[in-house]
Amino acid sequence: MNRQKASGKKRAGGISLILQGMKKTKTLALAQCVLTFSAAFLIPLRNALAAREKMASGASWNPVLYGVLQLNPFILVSFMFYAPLLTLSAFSFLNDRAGSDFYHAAAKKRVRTAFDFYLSQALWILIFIIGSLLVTCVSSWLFRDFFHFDRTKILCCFLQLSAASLLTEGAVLTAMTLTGTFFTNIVLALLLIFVPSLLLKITAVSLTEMVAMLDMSYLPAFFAGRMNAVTGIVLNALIVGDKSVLYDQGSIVYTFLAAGFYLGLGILLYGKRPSETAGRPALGRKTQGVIRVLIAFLISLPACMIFLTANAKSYPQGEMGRFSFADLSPDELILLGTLLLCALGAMLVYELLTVRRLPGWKKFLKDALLLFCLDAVWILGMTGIEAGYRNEAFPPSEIESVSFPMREQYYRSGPSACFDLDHYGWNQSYFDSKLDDVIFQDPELMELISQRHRETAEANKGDVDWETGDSYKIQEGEYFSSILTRIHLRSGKDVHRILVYSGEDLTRIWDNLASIEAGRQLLELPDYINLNWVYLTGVEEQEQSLPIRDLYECYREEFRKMTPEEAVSLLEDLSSYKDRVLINFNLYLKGDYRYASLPVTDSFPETQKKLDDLGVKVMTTENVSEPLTGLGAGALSETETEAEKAGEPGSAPDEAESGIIGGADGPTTIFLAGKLPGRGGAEMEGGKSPESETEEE
Amino acid sequence: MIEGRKLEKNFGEKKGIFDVSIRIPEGIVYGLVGSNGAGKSTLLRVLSGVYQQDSGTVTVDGEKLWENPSVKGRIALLADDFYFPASMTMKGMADLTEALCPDFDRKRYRSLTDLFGLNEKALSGSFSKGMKRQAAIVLALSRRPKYLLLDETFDGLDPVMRRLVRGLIAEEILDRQMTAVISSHSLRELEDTSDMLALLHRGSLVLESSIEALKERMFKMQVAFDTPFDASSFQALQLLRFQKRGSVAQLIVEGNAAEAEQILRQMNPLLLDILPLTLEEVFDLEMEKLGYAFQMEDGSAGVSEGGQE
Repeated sequence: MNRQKASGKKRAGGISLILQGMKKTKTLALAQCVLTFSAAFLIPLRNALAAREKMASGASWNPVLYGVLQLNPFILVSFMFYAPLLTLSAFSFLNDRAGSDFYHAAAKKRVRTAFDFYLSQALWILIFIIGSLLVTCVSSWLFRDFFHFDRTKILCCFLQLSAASLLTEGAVLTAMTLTGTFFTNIVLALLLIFVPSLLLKITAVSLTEMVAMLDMSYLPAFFAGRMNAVTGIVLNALIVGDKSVLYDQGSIVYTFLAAGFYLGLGILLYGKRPSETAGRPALGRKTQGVIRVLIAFLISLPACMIFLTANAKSYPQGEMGRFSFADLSPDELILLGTLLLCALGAMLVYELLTVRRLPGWKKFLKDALLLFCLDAVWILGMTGIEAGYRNEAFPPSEIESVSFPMREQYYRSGPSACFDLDHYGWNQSYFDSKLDDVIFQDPELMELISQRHRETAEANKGDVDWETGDSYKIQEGEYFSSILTRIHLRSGKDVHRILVYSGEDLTRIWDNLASIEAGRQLLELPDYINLNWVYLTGVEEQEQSLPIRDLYECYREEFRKMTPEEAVSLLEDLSSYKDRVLINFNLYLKGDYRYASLPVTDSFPETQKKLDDLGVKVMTTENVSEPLTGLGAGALSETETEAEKAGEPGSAPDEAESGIIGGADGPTTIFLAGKLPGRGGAEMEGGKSPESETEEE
Repeated sequence: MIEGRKLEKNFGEKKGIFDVSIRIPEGIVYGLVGSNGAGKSTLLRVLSGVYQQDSGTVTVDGEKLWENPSVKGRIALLADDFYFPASMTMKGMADLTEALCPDFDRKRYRSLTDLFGLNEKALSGSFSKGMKRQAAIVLALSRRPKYLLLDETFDGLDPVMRRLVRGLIAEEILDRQMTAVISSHSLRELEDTSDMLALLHRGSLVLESSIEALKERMFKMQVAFDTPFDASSFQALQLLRFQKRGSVAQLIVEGNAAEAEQILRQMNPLLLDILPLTLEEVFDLEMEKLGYAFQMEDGSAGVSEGGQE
């Protein structure tokens, strides 16, 4: 009786297995912590030393504002390596027959054992992330005289890295319950983590290739491959170098949910897992077959994509659903064949690697048949979705309003790309980001949108080259723009389509914009205090520092006095940028950094007078090597590049400074050196420096 | 009591256990004999809740075993390949066992560790195979299980340690009515210790009986007569085997020994001896009755269908 009571107490305690789990991976966990914590201290130390050297040399120097990942890039290993390795190590007994039997013989519910072990590794992960962030904070505080540290994103960073780590931990656990060797654990874990995102990504890419009206970012939510932080960070870092998903709140929630899903699935499967799976490549033949075919399916999907898009582009007007290999070019045929062969080969290789023998020909044929069936289902499914998009129509009476959101990850190359009020040529334009909020409800405009949608859908059925607009003309002789349009239907549904507008259409839209209050607000320039940095381009080099705040506020006041029509005209008229001083600014808005480049024209007499009084001379076209229309974009793109360079973990703050001065617009740029307002207590002197921006990732 | 009914665990290719029904009473030593691959380890894993049977039921003291921690807490399985990672110490294993099995008795663990002379702080990598097995026994006994399932446990132990472990098991049986289930492919290993024996062959339980009953119902008789005789002279007996060398015959008889002796005495034998059968001989005969041929461990231990010794 007493013994029962005693054991009851022991059971109630419940943390002994968690502690055992932590003990099991102690060496690995601590080694990783020591390495990463050291790096989190050494990188800031190196930056501080470089800054001190620069200061000692007496050269012009401004403190750089660093983000978390710049000072502690190794924190990313938390979910890339740390979590998976810890999980593999903690649950390694699942791959060992004796170990598996030992744990499964325990007087505990299996799900409890799995959860306790999961929790034990989650605790190590949290210790790793929190410790690493703490070391970064402490070291950046220690070296506060040499650089600034952007603490605003620490919480986001912590949450997202925790979510991503828990997700990989859950996925690895799930993989380990279904497979029984180290190799197959890793293969399946990678498949579990990346397959859904890759499938959606390939589907999304195929859809946008087939239906040019669609924008990747505005496909239905389940296509949003960036939502999963792990795949978002890894795939985006590999493909376009964008890690902004790290701070995306929606992504954080989604990743936590995905982590919860994998945790639940892993624990459920652990409870059901036969102990005899240990040491085997998979739970059973079916599981092994599913993994094999899944790998092959992933490899074959690009082949399906090639086949689909080649056929989609070859549809005669209005005719759909015709499949033929005749539409493929020889190169496409070779690539398609190679991919399919690789897919079949992958099945053989996987089998060879995991069970050390080739499958029988009957089994292989069965797998190949299954693979081709999956490919066919995917192709037919895609065709069905595509047909839905091609045949949709929105009569004006169904449209309640329209707006023009920004196209993410879209780099403009000309007037046909998107709205580009300030000719910034950059997808992060200040005005474009604000345009998102403007709702157009003019009935005539709704008619125009309905018509353009119909025409674009019709044109989409033909062989349209969306790059050049060949074979498609709305109005002969006029340029056209393909613009992402959000159509808000009376049913409450929002649809996003890239519609083609003529130049005249754009004028109508701008006229409409100028006539509504929201349009007026869109043309408001931001308060100086909200800006990250301001500087001038298009002027000859100056000896003295300029009162940039005064200049900007003067310009802002004059800009405010303009009528909306005048403001739109100023921004839209390319000639207004010619031989003018440009005021460039940057600020953080709607989750990202936004830029604008504004010309000081004759409509700004006060600003012009101030410039004249200061002796600022305009850089004329003859002296500018860059084409005028590319001035803002070119200058700032380069600035961004240099600023990014400054943000790289390996670059010293001085590199950033010299890069920006020289990079903005060559020797003609006046760099108005300034210090960070309200950041570290430094006084604002002449303006805001570009390198004081957080060059985050 | 551990009771398994119509248990099946099929690994394919005729591996596993098939339609096994077994009853293991409390407070005895239950021997499970069978050749390699007969299904002993699988049966023990099913009876300890490590494997989930494909069909059939396992109950322990009337309670369902699968995923029932309180029932699993009463069972300790000492597997043939004991889990003891090279990087762990025995103390570490004890901590882990305690975390997994809350009934772990620290005091008992310490006394047994001392008894076996094991260094609990040494890494398992430095342990010999026998020492690892001893460590496993210590950990299993420290759980104070009601049912101790030993899978080929004695194989790696020297005779001294065997005796010690047997003694400890006997002690537990006497003190706490513990039940020990010992599997082995060696009948001799089980002969002296088991109260009951079961024979597994190709995943099926072909025989289950108490040792006493097995031995009592068969016996060997040596007889000699001054007149000619053959097997037909003993029709009054339940004769299983008849072997004659010269004027002396060896009979193996099933039934009541006293009655058989009385029948033979009435035939005025020149010689009449009643000898006990070894367990091997009993098994041999039982198997023969079932249509199998039982081979002893010194040969390639196993049972073959339809054969004769």
